[in-house]
Amino acid sequence: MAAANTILIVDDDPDIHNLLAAALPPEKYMIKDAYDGLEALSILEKEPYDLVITDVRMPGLDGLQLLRRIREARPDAKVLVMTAQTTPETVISSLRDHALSYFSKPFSLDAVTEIVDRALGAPDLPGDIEVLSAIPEWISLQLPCKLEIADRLIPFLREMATDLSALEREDVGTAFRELLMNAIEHGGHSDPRKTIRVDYVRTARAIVYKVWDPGEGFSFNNIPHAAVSNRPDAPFEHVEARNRLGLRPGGFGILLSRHLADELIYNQKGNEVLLIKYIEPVSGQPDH
Amino acid sequence: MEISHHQIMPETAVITVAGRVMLGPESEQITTLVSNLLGEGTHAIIFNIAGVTAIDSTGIGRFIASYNKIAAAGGEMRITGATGYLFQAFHVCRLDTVFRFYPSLDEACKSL
Repeated sequence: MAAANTILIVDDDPDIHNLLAAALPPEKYMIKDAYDGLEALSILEKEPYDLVITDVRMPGLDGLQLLRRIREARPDAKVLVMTAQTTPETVISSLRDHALSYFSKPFSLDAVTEIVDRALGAPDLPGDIEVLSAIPEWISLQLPCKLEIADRLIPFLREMATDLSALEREDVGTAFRELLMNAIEHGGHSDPRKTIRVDYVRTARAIVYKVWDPGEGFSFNNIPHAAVSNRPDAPFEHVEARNRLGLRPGGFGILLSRHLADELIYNQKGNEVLLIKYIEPVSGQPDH
Repeated sequence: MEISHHQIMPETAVITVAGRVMLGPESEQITTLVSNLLGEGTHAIIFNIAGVTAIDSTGIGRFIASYNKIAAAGGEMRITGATGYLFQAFHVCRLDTVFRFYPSLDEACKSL
């Protein structure tokens, strides 16, 4: 039988420890509890853990300071940040200090188990998202062309869009993920030595994601492997082209993204795309 | 992603898929299972996808690959449990013009 994964949970709320213990049974996960950042650091100095899950707001050393201290000591440590009060600043700080992922309370037990399992199975490269610049209204990132990076980045950017409904956030996250996948796979040929650039821009009335890839671009007249090129009565038409080119099943990314976002705009070359989601103005709140 | 199956008639199987059907080796299990069932003599496959929480382009592609395998073997494919966002994803990709969707497993069975 495989050894249980070791997880250090850091939160000043005992209820959260109980909840996480219910989601992570002892047969599979060996959990150690800490109730503030300093206690967590003391535990981590004695032995390493496969994963650290930390709250943000705690007395003494808070979760973001803890993340920074862990990163200084162990650049490859996997840390998940969870919080009940997401702000753009906490998301940005978590990205800068290479948290592996980020999630909000309250959470379902199933969701936590899934997040933890994905974190434990992730490659040991938490430093692969580079923050080029970041203010709450505009974040610029550089990422290696690896498909798994999309799932790592999306929880952070999803948390930035707190004024969208949960469903809208899922929709935008799915659309953005498809565009990232296309950039990584078609623009960067899944070569981790190449990089793509992502911008998240928050205006008064819209959230805009920009994805730039290092590829040659494309024309909508010449992508027979994409479902967007299919005739209306032939929804499988592109599958033959994908099989011929040895591409994975799929090809629906542009169609799905167009449906899930409000606007999708490509540049002339086809290696840069804007995904735009409009925000309903809050009644009585002046525009910027 | 979780996947399981059971035979409801000698030549008819129900494949239940739940969780995230996304890019990666996990979703490949769908087409592998379909191939195995066809090889064992199953003629009709009903997918129950009511528990699917997220699907991407690759996930949709797995159902097309399954459909093509089943059709090539002269079999039948049905889908049940696709509601809301999930059905919308198939609809946007115009796959509701090819795949046959049913509101319940019972109705999917009766259609065979």
